[in-house]
Amino acid sequence: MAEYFVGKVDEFPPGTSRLVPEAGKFGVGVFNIGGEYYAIANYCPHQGAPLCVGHITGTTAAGAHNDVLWQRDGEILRCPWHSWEFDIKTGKTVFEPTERIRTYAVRVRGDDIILDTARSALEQAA
Amino acid sequence: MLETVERTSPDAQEKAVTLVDTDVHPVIHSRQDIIDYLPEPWRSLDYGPRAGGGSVIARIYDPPDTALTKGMRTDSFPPRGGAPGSDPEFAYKQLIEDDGVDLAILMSLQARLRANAEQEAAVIAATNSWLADVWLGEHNKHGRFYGSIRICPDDAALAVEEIERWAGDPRWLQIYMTPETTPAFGNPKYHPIYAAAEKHELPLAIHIIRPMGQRLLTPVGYPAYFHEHSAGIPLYYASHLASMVFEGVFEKYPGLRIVLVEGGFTWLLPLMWRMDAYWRECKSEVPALKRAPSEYVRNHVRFTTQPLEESDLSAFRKLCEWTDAENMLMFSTDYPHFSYDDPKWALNRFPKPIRNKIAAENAIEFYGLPTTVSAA
Repeated sequence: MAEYFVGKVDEFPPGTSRLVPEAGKFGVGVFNIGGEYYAIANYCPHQGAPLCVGHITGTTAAGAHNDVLWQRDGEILRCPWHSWEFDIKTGKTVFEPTERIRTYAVRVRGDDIILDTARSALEQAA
Repeated sequence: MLETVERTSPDAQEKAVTLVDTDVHPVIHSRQDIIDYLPEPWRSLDYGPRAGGGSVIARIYDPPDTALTKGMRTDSFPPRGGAPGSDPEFAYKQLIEDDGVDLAILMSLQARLRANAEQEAAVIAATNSWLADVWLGEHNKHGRFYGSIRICPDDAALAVEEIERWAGDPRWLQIYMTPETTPAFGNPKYHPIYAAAEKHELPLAIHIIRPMGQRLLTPVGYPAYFHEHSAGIPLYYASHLASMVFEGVFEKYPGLRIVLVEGGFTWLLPLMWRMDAYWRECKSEVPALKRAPSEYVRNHVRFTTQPLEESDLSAFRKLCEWTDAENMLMFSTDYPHFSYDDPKWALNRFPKPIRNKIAAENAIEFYGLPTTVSAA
């Protein structure tokens, strides 16, 4: 079984997320960022924490004169255990992206949001 | 009426202790929990109408997104409310049931450091009383929790008083103090503490607390960043350890046993090399020492695992072999803090033949813990 019903479009507004516990080995988190849907495995590659219960947040960038800039608010997921930051759109870590989580395809069929665990987000984009 | 003591068959109900967690952090649920244990004048100072409620928060404790996480595992906030580590039943669920920890050694950081040692000792004593009644009392019918008698190292007389207040009570496994102070722990001002620990055959653990102000030390002053401070934590431990070795503490108190908690261990081998080299080159400076410094360390000091270094695995395993991690280390999680180590992840980093020793056997031997627990 590769397809999972996530919810209705009008019940899943931007800035919210859902966990599909029966999908994949550890469950899959689905996120609505600005009207686009993204799905990642509920498993942190660091120590195996349930990643998708972490906070959705942003991250910092260095500005001129030691300024610290806040950016990408709503696109970064922090692991509940050690606060590792992940880019929800790509599954890659925000620090040197040597670690990544599995991403999955999400599509809209009529009013239904469907998670497809047979394909990655990258395959969907291609 | 005579009470009936129910006895169950130990064979059917017991399971072997295979995982001991040597570093767990309980806190109070609300300030009401602690007020009654704190005598005047300290009670009014912390909890009087114009006081700050015992909160000493002007310190560097700013791990990522502190406003959201409070520096905790974010899945450790108890469903019934309160701070992580404030609900003994929920801690039991996460640690004992979910993580498979058989026995947990509690080290409460509830009492924060104070500028005044007498006040700090009073707040620490109140916390010990609360821990005894709550976590080691009404919420310890399962017998999985053991306590650490916290003391204030800056006033040895009060520290010894606190040790004497609890010594002999089997719920307490060890004494514990925080290292953010001067002078280093080899100094004679601390020796009455070591004498008391030796007398009661209680190990003495050392655990960081990240205090406020000038006591947030590094060997070169005040750190600018949380990460900078955290990466440098081993420097506290290395400095105190070298001081204890060269001031002859282990020669003077041959029964003293030390546990360095949450300070890492990968720095130990080069420190022992250097200490041994200087001892050989100029032993006449420290005539009290009868053995090589590394021998005192191996005979008297143990280390807990968390936070485990996350280096390349083969390099890590080589270092474990060279350091004799098999005999020096005891597993710990640091639950519920954000620097928590998951037991499965942490133990798998060690070579398979030494995992059981680090997971439980070393702690059982060091602390004299039971080898089985009730399986219920």
